[in-house]
Amino acid sequence: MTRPHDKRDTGMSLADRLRSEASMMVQRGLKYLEYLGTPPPAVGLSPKTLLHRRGTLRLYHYHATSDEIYRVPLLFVMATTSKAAIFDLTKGQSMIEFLLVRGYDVYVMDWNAPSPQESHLKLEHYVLDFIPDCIRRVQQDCGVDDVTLVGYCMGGVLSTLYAALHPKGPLKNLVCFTTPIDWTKMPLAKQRHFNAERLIDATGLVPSQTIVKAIELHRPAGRIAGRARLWDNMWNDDYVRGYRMMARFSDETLPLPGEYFRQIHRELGQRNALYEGRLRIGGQAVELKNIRVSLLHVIAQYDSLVPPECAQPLVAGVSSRDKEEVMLPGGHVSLVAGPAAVKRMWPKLDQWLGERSV
Amino acid sequence: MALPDPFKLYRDAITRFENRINALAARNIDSKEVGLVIDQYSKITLGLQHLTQTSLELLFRRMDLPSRSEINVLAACLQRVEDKLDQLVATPAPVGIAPRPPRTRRPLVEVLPAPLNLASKRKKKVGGVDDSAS
Repeated sequence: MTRPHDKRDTGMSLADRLRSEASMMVQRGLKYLEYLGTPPPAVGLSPKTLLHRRGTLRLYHYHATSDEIYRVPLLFVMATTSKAAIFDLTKGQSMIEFLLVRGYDVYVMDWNAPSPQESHLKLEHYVLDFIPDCIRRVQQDCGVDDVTLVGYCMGGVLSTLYAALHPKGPLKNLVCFTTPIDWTKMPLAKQRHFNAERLIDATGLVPSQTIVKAIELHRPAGRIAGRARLWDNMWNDDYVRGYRMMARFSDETLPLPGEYFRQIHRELGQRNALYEGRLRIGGQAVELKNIRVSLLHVIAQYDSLVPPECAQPLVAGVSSRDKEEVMLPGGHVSLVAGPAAVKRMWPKLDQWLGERSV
Repeated sequence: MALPDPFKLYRDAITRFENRINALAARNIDSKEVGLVIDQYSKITLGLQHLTQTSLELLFRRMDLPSRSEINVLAACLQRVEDKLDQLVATPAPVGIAPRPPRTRRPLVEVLPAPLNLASKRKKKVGGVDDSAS
């Protein structure tokens, strides 16, 4: 992104350049005061109805905005460490708004911070209780049996586990965004020199701050460099708004139930049980080859959290005849939200889903 | 002669700094040293948390105030009551929402010019849908 005076760069005298830089400095100062005095932009504002809530789980139905909708509804499963507002940032930057306009019926499984009473929750609760319960409610609400599951990151893992354990339906399509399968290729999962038990606090939860720090370990300079760039672009309202929306996503990181974290760390991280076909959920073996529904997996080329080689075994491992993997430039978050997602991922998602939602 | 732009130099320096630090972290994230740092961090954090919790519990008891765990128990009770109410009370029809549109939408089919390449060279997709439009 260039600053206004960059366009006049060539042929500027030293006096003009100094004047321009001084004017930019003043603008930055004024905008910074505005930045300090205003709350971050509101996100997640698309009209919706809360269909169900149970502890950490929330099921929302977004209000249709087109005259005609596709037959098969979409059920988003958000990553368990984040709020689903990343799918619904603001007008023009909301994936949900985009899908509604394109005629999809959108339901979202969102999470609230789990309470200490929910520290016992395990993968079994998410895969064999929360997801099937929400699918039943979606079917009841829309009157259609078929459902498309759309999972992001760990939401993609949960959706994949569900699909593998329910090969007879009612799933019609499975869409995953940057979903880790081979955990030996996941940088932090390779770290075996710390005691994971110490990350769980006295309430039985992994605090959100610990999760934020763990994510930042992948790109430790990201926050400082981000702030430096923010100052450089403080004059640019669009840049600042985008920065604040993304910062809010990080600030709203959710704690994790301790038991769920233990299970993920042990089974997925250390034993790599999902990739190696040794994972058991509720006594049932989870095998990727049991997935036969249409599958789209969108991977981010520069994802430091879930690198492509960690996500690629999903498409390779399922038995679906109709399966597609798409690798797009971008990182873990910019894959689904932000200007690059608007241009690249959303149109691809619409094109893929449209054919399979009738 | 073009003047050096100090802000361009600054931006380049930031990018170089970020790339180098992140590359260093990526190379060492599974090292024993990083593991020890995480261990130390979690040990200190947990220690501080335990100390704070014990002191606060003592203070709350002295001041005759409920502790965090008691508030949590109360919150869980309220949550259970709210969940039960949700189950008992039928969801009212949302006010001001237009009736649901019909589920008859079909994807827009782009009319493409006749392909110039040989059919055998075209990418095939299971289900017979040619994705050359994408």
